[in-house]
Amino acid sequence: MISKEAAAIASQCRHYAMCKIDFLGTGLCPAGEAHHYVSYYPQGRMDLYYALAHDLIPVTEELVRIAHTCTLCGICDRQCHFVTELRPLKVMRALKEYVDAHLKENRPVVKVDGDEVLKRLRTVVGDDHAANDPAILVTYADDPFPLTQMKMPRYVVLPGSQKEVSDIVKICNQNNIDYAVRGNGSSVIGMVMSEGLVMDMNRMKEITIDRSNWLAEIGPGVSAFALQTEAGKHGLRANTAEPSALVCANIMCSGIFSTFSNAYGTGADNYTNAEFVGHDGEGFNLNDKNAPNLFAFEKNGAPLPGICTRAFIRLHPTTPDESGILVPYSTFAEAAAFCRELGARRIGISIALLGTEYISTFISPTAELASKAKKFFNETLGMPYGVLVIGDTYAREAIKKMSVPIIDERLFRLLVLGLPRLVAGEWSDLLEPLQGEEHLYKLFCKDEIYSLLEAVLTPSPQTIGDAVPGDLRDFYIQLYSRPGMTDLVWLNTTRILSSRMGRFKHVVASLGYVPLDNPDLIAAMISQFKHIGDRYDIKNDYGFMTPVDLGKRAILEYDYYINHRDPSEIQRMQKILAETAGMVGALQQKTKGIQWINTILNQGFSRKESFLYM
Amino acid sequence: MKISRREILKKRENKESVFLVTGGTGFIGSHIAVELLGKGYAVVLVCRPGKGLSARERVDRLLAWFQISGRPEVSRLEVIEGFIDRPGLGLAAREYERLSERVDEIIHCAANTAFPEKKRKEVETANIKPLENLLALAARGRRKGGSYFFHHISTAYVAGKRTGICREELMNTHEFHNVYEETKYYAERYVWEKYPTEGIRVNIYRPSIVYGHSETGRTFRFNALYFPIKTALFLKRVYETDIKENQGKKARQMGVRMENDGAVYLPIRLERKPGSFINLIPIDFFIDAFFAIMEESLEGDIFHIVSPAPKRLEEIIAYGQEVFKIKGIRTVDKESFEQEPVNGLEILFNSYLEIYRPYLGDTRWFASEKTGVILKKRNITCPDFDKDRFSRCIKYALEVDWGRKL
Repeated sequence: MISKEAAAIASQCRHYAMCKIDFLGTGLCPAGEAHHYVSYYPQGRMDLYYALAHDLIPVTEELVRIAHTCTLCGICDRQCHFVTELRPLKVMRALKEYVDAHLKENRPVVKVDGDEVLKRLRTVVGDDHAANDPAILVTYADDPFPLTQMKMPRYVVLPGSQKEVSDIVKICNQNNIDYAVRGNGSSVIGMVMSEGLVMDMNRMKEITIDRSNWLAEIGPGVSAFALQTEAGKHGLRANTAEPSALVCANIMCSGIFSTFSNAYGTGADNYTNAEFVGHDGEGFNLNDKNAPNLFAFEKNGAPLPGICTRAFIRLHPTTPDESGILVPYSTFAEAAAFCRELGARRIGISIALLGTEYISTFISPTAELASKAKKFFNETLGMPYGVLVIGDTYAREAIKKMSVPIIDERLFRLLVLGLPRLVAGEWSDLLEPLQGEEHLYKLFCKDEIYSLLEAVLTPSPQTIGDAVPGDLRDFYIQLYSRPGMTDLVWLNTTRILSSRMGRFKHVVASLGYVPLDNPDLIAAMISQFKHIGDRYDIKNDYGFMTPVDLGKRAILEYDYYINHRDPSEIQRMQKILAETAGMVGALQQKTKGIQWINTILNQGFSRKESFLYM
Repeated sequence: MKISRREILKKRENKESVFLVTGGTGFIGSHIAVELLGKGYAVVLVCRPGKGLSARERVDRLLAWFQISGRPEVSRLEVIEGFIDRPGLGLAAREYERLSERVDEIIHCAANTAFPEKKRKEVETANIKPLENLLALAARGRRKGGSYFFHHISTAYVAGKRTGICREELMNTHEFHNVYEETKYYAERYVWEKYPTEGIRVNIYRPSIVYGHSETGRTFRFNALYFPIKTALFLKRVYETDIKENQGKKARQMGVRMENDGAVYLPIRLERKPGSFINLIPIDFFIDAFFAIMEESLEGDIFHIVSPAPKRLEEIIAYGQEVFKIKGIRTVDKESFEQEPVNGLEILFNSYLEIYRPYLGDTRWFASEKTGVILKKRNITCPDFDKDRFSRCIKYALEVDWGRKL
């Protein structure tokens, strides 16, 4: 019997794959770690339960194995609550109970026969790493992107080396089988599904740090979080995307950009070399003279050049005096001008102009608190924007000399750990009359106020722990006792908070590059994005902006939030995507410096100069 | 054409006058409406819905607060859901027509009292825009014999940045402390100039700061003076907890301490202009004065409804410190204030003071001869805002948790 509650939870898995990285130090789902297939991770089990609830798959031998390997350890609950506030443990339990009841009632368990192709694939990768059981296949068949249709593959394979990837491609070519490569089992833009074969690179996670060359040699299964963690052990940092995103896949897709792109660049700035398996199954090395020229950029789009099986990622030095600050602003124009100023003056390593949707969502452990925090930042403090800067002592001193109010690391920590009391009724009410001509954030940023805020907010892991459900309180208290949880440098490097943006609903991001010296154009674009979203009654908000190449260009993200299981919202989102593409396309025709994600796709190895200055 | 004095008196005496009250869910408007009902008049409130409540629900809540729900006089109350800042008050044509024919006198209390410049647009919309719409309604009614009187609730602070004596006459200034003063100033001029041209008589009433009931302390608005007091009590509690439960580490950092007599010492210096006052009047006095003026002034005029004995900030601080066992809060002049470094408490409290400085440290003196004559005739005096009244007001505020329990 399907549990309605569990099915509802299962339907909301966003496929962010955060359950596949140990971002909270809880350890990983033991079954997932042992078996590699997505189906063995909580994400896959959520999809399996959804599939059972919708009669998409029968109970198979593999499904029984998957259900029985779950120990109900609860790691998934802690990880997923942190990100999305979902409680997958109920689904894990329901899946086990469903299978147990099925077996107890002596109902049939489907055994899926193999075929010649599967046999050959297993010869290459081993019996445990190639499958055609629907319980494996279905977890690679869908993603929450509104333009994708479900595609059930015939095979899922977990290669362990470049040689195996090469052999798999050749088998596919010989048998006329379409294939796709799926990194961490995650996909949010619908490009990694195939009705033929899906390769999951989860076994190829090797990282070697070449300290003398400032490089990390990584396999295609290495996540951003794993790379940053390893680089961090050597006092280094890479430019990476979201923590669960795979680094090679990111470069393949759009190139890596982050708030560190201010200093570390984007596109070809992030690597020195890469190895591929081409469409013919033969390997090539990007630095070979005869290799395809992936440094160039094709403005009308380009197909995938092959499968990246190894990349040499550039690493950058860090200094012990790095720290983060948040500079509040009441208008986008002022904040954008400040960002450009910082970029042009080479101040700061990481720079991001954030809206309060991000700020409040990131620092709040629950959606309810995030909603109150957003209102508080916008209305009470009068700071709808904040410029986040990670920099060394010299950078921070330079910013202080610019005479702007600053939320430094100490105040940030206070605001995060005291957040439930900061936005609570009584204190918030008292501040109401102070929302006058001077924005209240200026008051908060005064040194003399710190002690008062400390007394009022009693910031502590216990205080922030009060915001979460009782059974998770102790876990959150331990979690927020770690310095990293309020350390802007660590948080910005690992980006473990950024997946919280999908807590309310799945996020469909519209992003690309814009000319930072034309803030009116950027403001007009943001206004258009909002107008289009509002017209279709889809929640939307400004995301972030980061200067690139000394403030000449910037990366801009605007987000739409949809329930990816709601056909009406999907339909409306499809219209939004069409309209926003039209809007951006029209602007691209007449304005230099706009380059949108749809044209950059598959060209992430390009030199940034090849696409930023066309 | 104006209605005759005799007709006004006759209609009022026979309780035939129907009053339209705007701002009927506000502090002053609701008190006036309830008093009108109590006097036997029929009252129409045009209210907008808000905070998830219909106009009727909002009014019903207020009637409960006034403890008159279900009383016979409430049957004379009509609530119309409308928007006075929209043409035709946002009403259907037939409803608008009916209203214009029914109303005899309009008491315009609705106002936005926000000060910040960033709220200029909404304050202008609330304080200016309705006057055109109400004039259109009144003019239409006047042509059919109704709408003969417009009572405009203004504020003593239309005087803006003027200092010294401010007379009960149309003010002439161009400098204001905030957008509230400015819009109320222009609202007065509009009313004074435009309404009489349609044969409508106009009284302008200018209260100073209105607080709760002088005997019971009851109010449902806890803004202005209530805020710094509420904040002082909140902070006293914060530091008391710190001292009792956390060895007073945060208190020591701020220079806060517990005195031997149990009082909490909060080191707060408030910058104050010498020779400045706060003009406070209780709501019951305002209501008495308003009705006395309404009944006596039939030709139309301008009246200050203010306290003849404004208080000094020090007096109110003394009340608060004594009642709540707080020490350390004191006023100093600008020079003394700047001689020592400021602490966080001082920054916070002086921020409050900065917003309300024109009213808490007032150097304007509001002449009230015209009002005085009427009040004397009616034997009405303004109760002094003494320690007992202060205590009653704050006691009530605490009882209802500064309005949260209402």
